Amino acid sequence: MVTLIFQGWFQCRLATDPDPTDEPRGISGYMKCLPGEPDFDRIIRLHDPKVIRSHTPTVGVFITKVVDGNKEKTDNPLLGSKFNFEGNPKYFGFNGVVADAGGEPIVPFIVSVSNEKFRIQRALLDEAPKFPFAEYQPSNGIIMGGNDIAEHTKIFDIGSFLKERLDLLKQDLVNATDEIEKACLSQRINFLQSPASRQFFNARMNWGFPNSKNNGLLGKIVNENTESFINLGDLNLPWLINFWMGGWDPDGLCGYISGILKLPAATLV
Amino acid sequence: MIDTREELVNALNEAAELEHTLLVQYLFAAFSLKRNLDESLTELQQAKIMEWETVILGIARQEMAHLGTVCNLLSSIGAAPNFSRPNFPQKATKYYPIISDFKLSRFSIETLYRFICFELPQGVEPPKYDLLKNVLTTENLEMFRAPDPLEYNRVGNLYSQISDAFNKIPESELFIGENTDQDTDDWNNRFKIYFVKDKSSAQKAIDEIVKEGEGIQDNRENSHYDRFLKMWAEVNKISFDPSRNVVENPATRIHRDSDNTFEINIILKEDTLKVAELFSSLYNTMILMLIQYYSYSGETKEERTVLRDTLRNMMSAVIRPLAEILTQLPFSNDPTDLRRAGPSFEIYDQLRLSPNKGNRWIILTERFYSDVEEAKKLLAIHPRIAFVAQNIEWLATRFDNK
Repeated sequence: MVTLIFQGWFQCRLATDPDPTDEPRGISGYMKCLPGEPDFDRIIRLHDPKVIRSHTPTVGVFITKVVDGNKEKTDNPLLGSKFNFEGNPKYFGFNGVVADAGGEPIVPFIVSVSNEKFRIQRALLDEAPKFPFAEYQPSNGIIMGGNDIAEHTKIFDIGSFLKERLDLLKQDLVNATDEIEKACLSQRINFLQSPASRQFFNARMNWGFPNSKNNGLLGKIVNENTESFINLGDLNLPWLINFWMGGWDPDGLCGYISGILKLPAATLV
Repeated sequence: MIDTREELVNALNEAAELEHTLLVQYLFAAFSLKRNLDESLTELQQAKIMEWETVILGIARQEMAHLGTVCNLLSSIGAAPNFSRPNFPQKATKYYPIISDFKLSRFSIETLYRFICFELPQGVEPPKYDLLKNVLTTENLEMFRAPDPLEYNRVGNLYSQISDAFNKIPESELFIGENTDQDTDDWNNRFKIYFVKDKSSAQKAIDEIVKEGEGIQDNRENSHYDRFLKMWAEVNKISFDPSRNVVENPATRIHRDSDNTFEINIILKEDTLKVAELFSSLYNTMILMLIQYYSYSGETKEERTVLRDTLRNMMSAVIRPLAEILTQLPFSNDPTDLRRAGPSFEIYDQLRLSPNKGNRWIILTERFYSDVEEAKKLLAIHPRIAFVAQNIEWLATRFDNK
């Protein structure tokens, strides 16, 4: 078995309840598009953020550990490669019609590990997802607290972390001359002083496949240029994945993801 | 004077109708606001409009909670919840002795001024606004309600009389309602709806409604009145049109209970008319669900949860998107006519439910599936209707599988 550990910051620009799921700018919920920013698209981006707000975490999720059996490998090309969700996935809650906040499936669910030279990729299922998307549901609802978020993000005090950003933004506002930039900075400064800016930082959502509704990732495997460093083995065996998403930073439009992907039939070359 | 149960029930019924009527007018104005840069807006104008919409929708949500609390007050004294109201438009004096007429009009200085009048605190005169002479109605109020006519000219004054009545009528006689009839849920932190069991809890509920509406005498900060007043001052200074060219009082037909001396705009374009009818049908379904949720007839806790969740989901995932769509759809068939329709919030007939629980579910499910079929026929009219149709279908399926 080959085990891959992945982690990093992801971006998701989405309107929040009670705004309709497809609300493009954010009106009633706490998430808002700033003047000049493109409309929300709800896509969970693990790389290439659509918008970068100043003084916020850098988006990017990478393989941080590669283990063959129980032996950690430090010289395998998989280490440091990109971990990604493909197919423009979204939290599929639809204002509670499918699932409430924190209980949303991620649809579609396709994982990939790649760099500029190779790619491996697999979907949860090849069939098109169907209501009520039971196979895609997270393992449980929102879990508050715990030490995982702090240890992974290195943010042990969200209050002082956001205060530092707030001070930087206030300084930026003093120096800003452009009216749109001033409006954006003012809006962010106001938001960072509200409880909504930190209320979900310690919330964690967990996904795990297999679960009671599926047997793990069973879609067709994409395998390009990996022969020199990994043998995927029996392609019919499901891949297993567990991960959490948390550390939600609404001003930064980002959160943290950390997880483990297991390829049971694979061996490293 | 309100000093009998019957008079108190009448006054609370009036309060419920008022809250319902106000919130629909607020929603209409909010949904009429422009949203996109291609609607002749700059980025900063778009941001300012978003800010106004956030405030108005926030106020409308509080009015929904007020309506829920008033229904709890009714239930606490043994009366039925009330979700009825006359169709728009209405002269201020015909149904309610309030100083500003009731109509569906797009966001504008005039509309905001009417909203300020609705929320005007007791003892406070409306700000001076010369352009609005024809909107303010200050003639003698026509009273014809029995047993004693209700006399008030501010919403806060109505609540103040209701509050006095709760104090006057002996507590031991008044609170005969079953607790199970009341809504005690927080609707996922969206609303604060008060549970009423005695004089003290009734007083607290009423005080909160008045505080949110007109504020308290020395502090009106963040009340509906204060927020509308500040918004009105801002809108007085702008030099752009913040709202879509939505007709006043759009309708799919003339209603017997609407005041036909006002401008009523029957939607002329067939496609738009179909969407408007679907919207009002879903709105009526929602009212029926509210009636079922608030008038207990043996529903289990799980069934009440299904009703509450479906209502909550419908507001965000169906009613609002469809209302927003309607503010973008042409009003007439004439391509040079740039007017848009808007959500008409029509009530087609008296909305009542059977006391038989089984029948209630069957009727609601029937309505849902019928709306799903209709929505699927309208997909080509606007790209966002597919989103709404999908949501209705999923809601119907979940509702049916309860």
